[in-house]
Amino acid sequence: MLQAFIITLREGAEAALLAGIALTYLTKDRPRQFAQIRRRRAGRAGCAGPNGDRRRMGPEMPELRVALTDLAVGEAATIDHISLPPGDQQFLMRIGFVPGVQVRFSRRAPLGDPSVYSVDGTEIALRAETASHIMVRRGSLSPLGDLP
Amino acid sequence: MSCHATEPLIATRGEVPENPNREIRTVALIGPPNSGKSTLFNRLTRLRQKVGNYPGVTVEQRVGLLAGKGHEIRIIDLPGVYSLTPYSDDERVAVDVLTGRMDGLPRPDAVLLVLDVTHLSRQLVLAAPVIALGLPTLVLLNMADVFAKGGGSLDVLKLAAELGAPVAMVSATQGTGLDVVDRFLRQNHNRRPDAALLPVLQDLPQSRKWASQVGRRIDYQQHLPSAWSGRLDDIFLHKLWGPLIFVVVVGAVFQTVFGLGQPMSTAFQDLLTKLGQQAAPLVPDGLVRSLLLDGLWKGVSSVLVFLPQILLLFFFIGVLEDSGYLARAALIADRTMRSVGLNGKAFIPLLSAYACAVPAIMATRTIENKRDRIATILVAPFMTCSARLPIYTLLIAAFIPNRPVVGVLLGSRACAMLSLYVLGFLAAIVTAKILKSSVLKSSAAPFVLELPEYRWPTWQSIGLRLLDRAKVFLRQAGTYILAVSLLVWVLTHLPLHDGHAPQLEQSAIAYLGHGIEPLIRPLGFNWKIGVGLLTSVIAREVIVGTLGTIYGTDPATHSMTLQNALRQDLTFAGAMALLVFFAFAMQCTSTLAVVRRETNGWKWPVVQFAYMTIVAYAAAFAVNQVLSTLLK
Repeated sequence: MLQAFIITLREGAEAALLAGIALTYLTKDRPRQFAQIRRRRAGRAGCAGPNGDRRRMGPEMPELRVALTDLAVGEAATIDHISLPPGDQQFLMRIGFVPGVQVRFSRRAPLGDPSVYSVDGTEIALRAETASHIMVRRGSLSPLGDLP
Repeated sequence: MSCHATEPLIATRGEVPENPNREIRTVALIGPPNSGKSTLFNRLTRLRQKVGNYPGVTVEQRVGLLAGKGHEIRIIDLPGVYSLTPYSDDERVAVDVLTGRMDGLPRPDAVLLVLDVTHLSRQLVLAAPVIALGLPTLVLLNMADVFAKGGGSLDVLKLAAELGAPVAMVSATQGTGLDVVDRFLRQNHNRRPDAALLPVLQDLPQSRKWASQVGRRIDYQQHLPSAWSGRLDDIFLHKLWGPLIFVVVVGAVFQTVFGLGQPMSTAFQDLLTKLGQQAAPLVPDGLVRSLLLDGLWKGVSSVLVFLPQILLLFFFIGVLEDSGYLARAALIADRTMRSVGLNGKAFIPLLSAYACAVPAIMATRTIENKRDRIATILVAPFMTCSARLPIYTLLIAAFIPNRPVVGVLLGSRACAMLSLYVLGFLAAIVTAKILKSSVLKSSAAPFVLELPEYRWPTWQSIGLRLLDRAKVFLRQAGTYILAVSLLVWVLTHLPLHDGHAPQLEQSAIAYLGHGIEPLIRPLGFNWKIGVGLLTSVIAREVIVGTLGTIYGTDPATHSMTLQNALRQDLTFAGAMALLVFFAFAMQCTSTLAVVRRETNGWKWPVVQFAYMTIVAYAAAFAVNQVLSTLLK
């Protein structure tokens, strides 16, 4: 019993060490995090007026139809259409990927492929094979304006 | 959307209620997936519906009684739906119940519509068709606590006016605001919601636009998700740390289940043995004492000792599931799932198959594609369920010396256990690959995985789950295992010679065991294991009870623990072969029954049973032959 307890204790220490290293990494990363949150707040405040988004996207970004997978991490865009069979289209719409709604590419999974997108305040992971069929408009205004 | 699916809406919209003043007797809980219906259901009924922090936990309707005072009101908990046009089997269940077409359930008199207020603009889409059903409806905006903390706000009165139905902010996890449900249900509902106000749009972008407009009119301010979730994901989904933490978490769970669980089990076993010895003088010596102590008590207690380990495992699964980490693990594991062509949605059912294949097979209802669903059902029993734990733990503790493998982090026993889990997983993957590239070929459905915000797991939720698991385990021990132990004991005492039991080798059970011995001899099993294999067709853990009874009645091994008795009676190669046999074999009547029910026929369960038994036999044969040649 005692031996098992000590083993678990040492394992806990090991885990704490890991968490510590990870936290160090985070602290190093924090300025970017805060900047993102500030930007998000700014975006929310600007939601009522049409200028909020344009300011965020910058004028240098032309309105372009690209696939969801072409976005950069952290970039937001408006869903234009989904070029998949009707069944799949319906399925994706039901979980939030509705044309006209804003979507943001939030992160890649560790092994590269499924990517996480933020739509309607929910984080949803899609594989590239699916996301590449969701077409978005870069730098345009969302008529529904729902980005968190 | 197809016209066919919209029929129930049209049929019920204009319907005049037969008795508008009728008391409410049945009420249905409906809402989108992961909006917290089951948590609310548990709150309202004080029942223990399984809840989890990911969509698709409820796949069947559950009925409970409203807890507390007054007359009885039935509450039906439904699977989550995004719309009333059903796409998958679990959504069809919800729609059928709501429209009164489910056998054995009356049409609900009222509806509680549960919406996650933190994602209101998406969830509001469901409100229009539900309220348009014309039943008295109370809209519950759940997760109000999270919403308020994140700075979200909205005008509840304006929303009620928009929807033509009462609206209340509640928190199912905190239990706040729920008195409104009681008040609502005890009211007389003369006035039905005015469905004409609401656009029941069949076009999703259109209804989504409507929802956004409503959101603007009610001054909906979305809450800011706590920065913690994102920050934690920066670690857990980090390129390097993510997979590393995944491996460490899995390893730590196994090490603790073994490192901490084993001594707990041993202590529990000592206690049970002592109890048996204490009770011995109370019963007259002879056949009765032998029946009660050697037969029943040894059989049942040899299975009971694994309770601590099973509870430990479930504790960890519960924490991972409730916190939201499991969804992240699914994301990391998706690469593997895809390489075998399995639907991404198969991950959650397969993961819950680690606990038990029965709920896992029911959870496959969330998979829309029929072929994908059958493939997932067929591979689920390969995942190492908790019923395998007793025989695994028993044999590993008996035959594998405890040595460190990766320093103190991972011992050889935990390592062996982990390999068995990996073995089951590999079998599932290979089988899936074979199925998907032959009989069950289909185009891949889009993979979608929602990553919920991290939440602290609550002691209540995990405690209830452990209690449930313990109950199931004890019920098994009290029924199947008790009955089989009784049968085995009787067979060891037949045929009677002048009122005395025969030598074990001359008993009916030995006759039975020797009958199948030629078949299992090449696997390195003796006839006692053979009897265990026969009885364990009922359920896997029964073999431990059977062996406990057989070795307990045998005078040669009577005073030994089951571990020591096995070590004396079985070769190392035979023991390893037995482990592998259990990793692959389909020994569970409940699973076969549920597969038959879910696939509507005997074809798939028969195929599954035959396939798994053949694989198990071949693998055990190979392991025994190879190991016994190597160790010669």
